[in-house]
Amino acid sequence: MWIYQKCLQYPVKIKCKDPRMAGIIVAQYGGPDGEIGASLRYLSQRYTMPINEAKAVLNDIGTEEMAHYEMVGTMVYQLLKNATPEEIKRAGAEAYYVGHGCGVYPQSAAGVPFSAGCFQSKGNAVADLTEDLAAEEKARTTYEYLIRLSDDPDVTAPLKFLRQREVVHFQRFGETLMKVQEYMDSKKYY
Amino acid sequence: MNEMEMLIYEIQKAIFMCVEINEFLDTHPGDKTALDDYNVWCEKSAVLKMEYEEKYGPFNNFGYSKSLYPFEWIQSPWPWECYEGSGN
Repeated sequence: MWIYQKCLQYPVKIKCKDPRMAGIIVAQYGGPDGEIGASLRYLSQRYTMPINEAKAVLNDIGTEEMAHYEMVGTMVYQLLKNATPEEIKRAGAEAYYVGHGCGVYPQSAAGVPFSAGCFQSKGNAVADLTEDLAAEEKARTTYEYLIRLSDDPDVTAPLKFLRQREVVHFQRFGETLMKVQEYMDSKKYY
Repeated sequence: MNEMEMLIYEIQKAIFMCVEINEFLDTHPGDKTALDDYNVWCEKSAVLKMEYEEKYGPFNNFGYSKSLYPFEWIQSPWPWECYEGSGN
């Protein structure tokens, strides 16, 4: 079960509104390679993992992704907060504004609402972990693209932290896949 | 950064160490050095949280932190709200 700690995993303190950037960063809030997809993927896959290391990794990384989901949501919130209709129009952010005002909603940068279709939980440890490796790399790449699109250090600092975490998670999933494969091989000796 | 923000930043650093080493231990449960480090950072987090709670109220919900009257948990700032020095 989950409890809550009253702080973000890494500080998000954005001083300047930017509705354009909000509509792009939302990709990591509700897009196909975003944090909620990652969290639901790992928390769904953990049930059918055959070894304890894998159950723990999926449980814990799935939980950390929720903390990341919260950071990205906070970024969208702060980038939109108190935006005027003129600022929204100038930023080309009318479509999001009409749907959600200055609210925070999980959709892709193109406006597609979040869907579980962006991940799988196949009930097979090797398939699931292989997907997880790809997921971390897709997320890392997305953060790299986002970092290129902003020159506000209040925005790029949390994005760089989140990018680095994807690299570490990729490492952990690689180790987990190897352990699962060792386990599967060991079952073949009678 | 005001005093509360500075303390929260110290807590964030300690919690981060715990998360990072926890995930490492998930795939390296036999690494004694890492485990000893983990327990050191657990202790540091607990000490910092205790200091926070004495000054600013509960850090956790659902029974992990007690509260004075009236229920302190609901109070701002919530983590997505900025503190001083910003339009947020």
